[in-house]
This record gives sequence, structure tokens and C-alpha cells, in this order.
Amino acid sequence: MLISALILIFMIVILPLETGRLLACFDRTPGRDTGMVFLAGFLFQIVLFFPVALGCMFFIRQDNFAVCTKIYLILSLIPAVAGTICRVKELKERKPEAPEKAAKPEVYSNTGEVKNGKFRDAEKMILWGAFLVIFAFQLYKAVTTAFIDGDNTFYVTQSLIAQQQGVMFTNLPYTGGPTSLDMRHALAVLPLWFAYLAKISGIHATVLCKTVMPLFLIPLTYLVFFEIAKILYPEEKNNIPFFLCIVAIFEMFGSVSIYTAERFFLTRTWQGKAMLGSVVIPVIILGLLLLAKSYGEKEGTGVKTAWYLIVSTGIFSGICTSLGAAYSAGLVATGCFILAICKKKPGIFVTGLLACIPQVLYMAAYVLLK
Amino acid sequence: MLSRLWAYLELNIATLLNYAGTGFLLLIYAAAFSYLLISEKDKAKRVIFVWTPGLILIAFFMPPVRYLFMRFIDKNDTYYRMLWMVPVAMTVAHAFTRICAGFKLIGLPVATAMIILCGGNVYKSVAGPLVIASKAQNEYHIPQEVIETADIIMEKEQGHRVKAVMPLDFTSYIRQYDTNIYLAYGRELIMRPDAYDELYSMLCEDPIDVEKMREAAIPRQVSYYVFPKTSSFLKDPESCGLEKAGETENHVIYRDPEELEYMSGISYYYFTD
Repeated sequence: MLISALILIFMIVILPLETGRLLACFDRTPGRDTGMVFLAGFLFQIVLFFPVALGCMFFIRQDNFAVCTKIYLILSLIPAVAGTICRVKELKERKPEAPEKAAKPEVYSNTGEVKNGKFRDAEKMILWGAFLVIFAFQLYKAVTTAFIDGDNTFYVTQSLIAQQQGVMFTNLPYTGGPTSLDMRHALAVLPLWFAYLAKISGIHATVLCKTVMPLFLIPLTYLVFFEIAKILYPEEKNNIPFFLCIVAIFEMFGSVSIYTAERFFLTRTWQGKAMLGSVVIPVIILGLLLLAKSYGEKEGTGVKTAWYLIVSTGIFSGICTSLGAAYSAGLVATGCFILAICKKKPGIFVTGLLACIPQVLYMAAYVLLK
Repeated sequence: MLSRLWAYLELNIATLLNYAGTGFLLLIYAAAFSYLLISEKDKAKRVIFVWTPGLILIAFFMPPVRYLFMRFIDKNDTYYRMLWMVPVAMTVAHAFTRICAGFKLIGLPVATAMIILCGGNVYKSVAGPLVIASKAQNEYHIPQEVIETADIIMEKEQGHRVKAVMPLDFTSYIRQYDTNIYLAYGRELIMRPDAYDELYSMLCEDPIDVEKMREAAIPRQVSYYVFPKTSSFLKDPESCGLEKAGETENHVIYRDPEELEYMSGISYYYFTD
């Protein structure tokens, strides 16, 4: 069990982190933190799975999942190893200077008075403490609560079929037995990615999806919100945990109908459509926010990172759910259109449309294959 | 033409009302949106929290958008997911963060209380008459009895694939535990009210005619039968040629030794004609 856990941590934490370091070597935006590096690496790793899975699904008849697993394992290691080498080189090249401590900016309350430092520290501890309590509670409930949802009979079973039977979308999930390739769902390969993790780690795919992956996906969602909050509140740091607390409470009490993204997030965390609402769309918003803040400033302050996030998440949206590509493209196009008007730079809208090419190709393939 | 447009507009409003559901969270969102529209001066934040969601909402209500969505993207009722593009939680959080800037420690419980009163607890969610959340009985998050049933079958068959007939509530879970157990019918009977399966209807009879059921099951390669303990039978299953394989708290599992057939389970990829 411990070995399985260590293997899984290596696959979903270490590999993305090291891959992110490789990407960071190409875009040396100052002040980029580990969270952003991890997010970039995670998106790279999962987008890499897409062509491998599709290729094996369409072109290999027998034992295609085993072949897919082997190819992807090798391909996923390459950027991570390269990232580690790059990072080691970077550390060696860096001159050992004592960093200058920037003067702490004075922070004013709404009434204009300078806030007391000790009070702000206490406030910070209480707010972060509150967020961590809510966050820990959500993780606890994710592990100890079973949610009835009929879609698990399809999606989780597809992952388990790949793990146990070694086939990709050619076995009926509800009853068993062979079937033709399920074109409608074949492009959304997320269940196969879970099956890959299950196969490599040795964890049963159902346990992985329902008990283990929420322990990764819920923190991933809050990581995205954290990165958004850092951009929203660069000066008043105590706003970040306050913002996260409100978002976390909203996620827990957002189940006003069966349609809300909040309900999907905590009751079906591992399903592709839930990840559309909880990861894909927030990452696109993060990318748009970064674009909005960065455009007009000197090059290298976040524009490249923003476009990378937008493009890679657009592909990831198709991996999550077949219609995710349409929604993500809609959001990117709308956001870039508004940005282009606000910044008076039509080029932003044109680049935004170009960034949606993967989603357009995906939807074309979806319509043709359907 | 106008009546079609009006019909689509009514559909869009109905979709929004269904999305809003039983709580008042969308009212909190509307208040937060209005506050940021008036008070947020930072251009980047206005793009994210005001202009982009505003344009998305306008597009959401436009009948031609609905028509194009249903024509080219999805005929099923997933149009509500357009509303996921609107960052509701973040907008509310940002608005509260701005309002409570000077008194966060008081503002947090007040904001929390407002969201709790206007929202719905995800851990007490319902789907119709059903409460969807319950304490997990195991790490698979499926009923323990389903696991015991599958283990009884697989202990006998040592990993060979067999087909079984079982109550409908088991069919949603058993293949989430072991995909070597095939089913005579599955979740499609739950999803489609007009769906019919001969074996399932025989399972629901009172009393169950096991001989007739076995006759119908043989061409479908069924080797296992899971009966609720509360079932009554015209003739005892064991006198009809079935062998008791085991039992769980509420069910008895029978095996058909004469008609035991292993499923090939090999699926090669192929196109339909």
C-alpha cells in the first residue's frame, strides 16, 4: 500500500513538478512560484496523454491499453528528467547573493489608518487556519462519504475495464461484452488516464477515482484559486485566505440544484464534467486574468505563461469531457474579445481565436466521429 | 419565427431557474455582480468579474445561441453548463473581500452565514427523493454487500468471466468492483423508463418461476442468479438445477453448474457498419 502511494505521488506530484521546471526554463518570468510551475507541468503531462491514448485506441487492435501505458510512461518521464537537469543547471549558475529584503509596504485600512503589524499577523493566522479547517473537512468528507451517482457506472467502470481487461472503450461498461469503439466518449480520455495511474500504482481504479483522486483534485482546484487570489491581491496578503475561505464555503453550500458546478465538484470530483467546472474554467480565468494584468507591461511578465495556460487547458477540456472543448473555447474567445476592447489591442482577440484551434479541431473530430 | 425565438427564450429562462434551484445564491451573485460593476475600478478585474461574465450571460439568453447549441453541439439538456463559464463563486468571494477589507474577522462569519442560509449543503444533496450522500462502507464507495456478492462469485470462478442476473440496484455497482462479472441487463433499465428486459421482469415476479427464468437465461449465457432473501419461488431453486454458491445479509447467490459458461471478454476494436 505504501509503495502504491509513493508511486502515485511520484506520478501526479513529482513528475508534473519537474516537467513544470522544464517549462519554467523557457519562460523566466520573475516571481513565478512552485504552484504555477506545478500547474504548468500537470497540464503538460495530461495533455501529453491525449495523443498517446488516441493513437493506441485507433491504431492498435490488441492489448492497446498495455501499449498505451508503456508509451506514456516513457514519454512522461522525458520532460520531467529534462526539467530536473535544467533546474540543477539553473541552481549552479545562480550567483550566491543575499537577496535584498524589500521594504514591507504599509497597508491601510478602509479608514486610512496604518494597520497594526501584530494584528495583521494574528488576522493572517486566523484566516489561514479557518481555510485549512474547511479544506481539511472537505478532504475528510471526500474520503468518508459515498455519493450515489449513476454516471459512475459508466466512467469509473471504463477506468476499471481498461485496468482489468486492458481495452479502451471497447467493452460495454453497464453489462460487459465487446462493442464497437464508443465514438461519443472516446475523445474524452480522462477515465483512461485514471486507469493508467491505477495500473502503474497497483491501486484498484474505483478506489483511485473515488477515494484517492479527490485528495489530489480538491487541492489542485484550491491551488488554482490561490494563484488567482495572488494576482487579485498582490498588496494585501490577508485578502488571499479570506477569498479562499469564501470560495470554499461557496463550494460546500453551492448545491442549490443538481446543475451547479459546486455540486459536481464535491460529489463527483473525479468525473470529467466536474473537472471542467472546478479545474478547467478556473485555470482559463487564471490565464485571462494574467493576460489582463500582463498586457502592456514589459515582455516576460506573464503573457507567455498566460497563453500557455489557456492553450493547454483548452486541450485538457476536451480530455475531461467531449463538450468541454466548446465551453472552454467560448470562454477564451469571450474573454479575449473583451480584453481586446479594453486594452485596445485587436491582436489579443486574434491570438485568442488562434488559441482555440485545438478545441475547434476537437469539436470537428467529435462531430465527424459521432 | 418570432414564436420560435420566444420559445427558446422561455427555455433559457427555465434553464436558469432550474439552475438557481431552491436557494438564493444567484441573488447573492447578482448583488455581488452589481456591486463590482459600480465599484471595481481595476480594469483587469472588471474584465474577469464584470464584462466577460456579462457578455456570457447575454449570450446565454439569446435564442439563436440556444438554437445553434442544440443544432451543432448537443441536443441533450446540457445548455446549463454555459453558466459554469460565469465565475459565480469567485465573483461573490471577490465582492465580499472588497466589502470586508477593513474587518475581515467579522466579515468572514457574516459572509459565511449568508452563503449557508441562501445555499444548499452539498453533503445533504438530494436527487428527487434520494439523498445522494451516505457514509462510505468501504474504500470503493459502493455497498459492502455488492462486494461480498462479487467475491462469492469470483471465488468460485477464479477470475473467469461469467454473466449474472441480479437486482437492479446491484447492477449499478458490481462492475465498479469487478469487470469480470458480466450482466444480463444493466443501468439502461434505470435510465430509460420504456426499457424492458425479460429476465429482469421475471426476477420481479412474485413468486419467481426459476425454471422458466433458467430457460430464458440459457441462450443469454447466464450462469449466476442473485435473489433477494425476501423472494418467494414457485419451486425451490436447488430443485430446478441451481446450486447455492453463497449468501450475504440480504441476498442468496445461485450458480448454474450445468449451464456454466465463461465469457470470452476479448474486445477488438472495430467500426460499426
